[in-house]
Amino acid sequence: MSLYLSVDFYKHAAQTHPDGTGKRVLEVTDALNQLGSKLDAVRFTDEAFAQEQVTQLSQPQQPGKTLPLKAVPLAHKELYGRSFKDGSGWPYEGGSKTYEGQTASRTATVIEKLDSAGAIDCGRLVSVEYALGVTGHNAYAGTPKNPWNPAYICGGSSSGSGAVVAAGIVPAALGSDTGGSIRLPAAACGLVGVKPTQGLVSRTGVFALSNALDTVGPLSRSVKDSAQILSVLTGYDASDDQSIDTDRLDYLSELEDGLKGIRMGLAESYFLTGSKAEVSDPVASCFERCAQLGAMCRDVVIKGVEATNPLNVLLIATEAAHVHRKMILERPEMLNDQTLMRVLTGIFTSDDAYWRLQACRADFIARTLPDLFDKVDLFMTPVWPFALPTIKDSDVGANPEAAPLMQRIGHNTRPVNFLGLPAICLPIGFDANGLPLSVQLVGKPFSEVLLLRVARAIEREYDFWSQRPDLSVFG
Amino acid sequence: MAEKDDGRRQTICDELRQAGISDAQVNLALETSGILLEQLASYPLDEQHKRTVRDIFMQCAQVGDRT
Repeated sequence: MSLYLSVDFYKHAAQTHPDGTGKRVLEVTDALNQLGSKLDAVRFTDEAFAQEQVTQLSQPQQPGKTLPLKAVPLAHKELYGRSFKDGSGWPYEGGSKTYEGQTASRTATVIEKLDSAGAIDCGRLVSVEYALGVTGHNAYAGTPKNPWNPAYICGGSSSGSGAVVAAGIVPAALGSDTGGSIRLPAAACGLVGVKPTQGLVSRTGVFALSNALDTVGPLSRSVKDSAQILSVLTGYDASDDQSIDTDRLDYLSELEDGLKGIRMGLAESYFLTGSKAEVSDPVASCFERCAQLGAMCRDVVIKGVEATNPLNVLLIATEAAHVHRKMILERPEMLNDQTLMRVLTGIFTSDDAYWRLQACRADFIARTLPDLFDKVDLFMTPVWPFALPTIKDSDVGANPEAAPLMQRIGHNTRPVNFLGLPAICLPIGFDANGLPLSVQLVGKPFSEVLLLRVARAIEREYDFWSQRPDLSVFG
Repeated sequence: MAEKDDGRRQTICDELRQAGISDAQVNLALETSGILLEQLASYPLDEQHKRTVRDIFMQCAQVGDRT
């Protein structure tokens, strides 16, 4: 079983050894079933479907059609629906026993885009229940173990995506991010995680948590792999009321252009000061290193940013309570304690308060963006505000300590969702417990090309994936 | 207005208890919700601002400056 293969490896192999595509995909589904299951990260695989996609790739393609992800095996967070012509569909439970047995009634738009690009869809990976949680605990679907140390969490809510990509089973997986759910597991597992600008990537057919805040993006081990996936995902979708019609870009175009001339900010106030030195010091060092590489560096302050984390928590809880109200009232005993506590928090929000919340968000964005990005092109923060906790220590359930802990974990990520901005995180080393440490880069709307370029320059410097987790502990 | 809100909250609490959710869970959620709603109320909203988040991002996309 070959692990840690890149998007480029699979694309190249499809050209040079097309007859081996089926075997390579079979190795991936086997690894998902064996290693992925030991990580408690996989919901299901569909070997027959994956092999059917392989067969389709061997058929003559339409003239002029390109397959930018030809024969690249992927697996995604379980929020992504897939349905079939006969009316059947893959399980679509949102990580929750309350939706046990539900199947997808349509294929998510982004999954259709990946299919059209030639990617192979091998199955679905564990999500935190309703995608509403940052630690990765899920008593029903599973609590994925961190490949770097199985005693530690993968973060959430794209916990299974983080685990299987860090274990090298697939080169990339889709996650979703409403308050940090791509970036927190990516950072916990030493991965690149891309949270795109609000409206850049369609959410149609994706199990919803918060219509205002949900975003879709990849987790991968390299910046280039994420750039290749993102290039396929973008595009206007009239079915998504937040989708924005914008030019499609080549996210690989500037990857190797370096940092010279880039105006970078360090968000010391709130972000670094609100994080423990064990994570903020390495971020500050990374920032200095960027200056040495030619970036023009300065401090930035986002006025009023401290209000955004609790308002983001309230917005998610309110919309989640609206979406899942029926389940809350009919099947509350099936919900994880932590999920129940969080959705209940939003059930009390009145219509007036909800509209004020949306208005406050728009007001804050309009006030903040022009001033912030007049001075810098992007800014850097930590991702986790403290060293990664163990699965045991962060299993807080629904006791009074839970809400402050959840709010605290999203300290550096939720403001970015509230602002609707694009962000990318990537690893820069290890903490004292041998778990990955990461930085977050946040840019102006639709500046993903620039963020990927800066991330690539940092990736080159740190070469994080020259080390790998010891997977022998998983047997 | 406050009385109307109190009545609405009480109705929701009754519904939740009827659904089998414990008093402790309902009370904890109500308390957390209260804290968050207070923070919302204290936000200095500019009532003149009428654009939606999507309006703002559409304008950003039209400007076309992505570097």
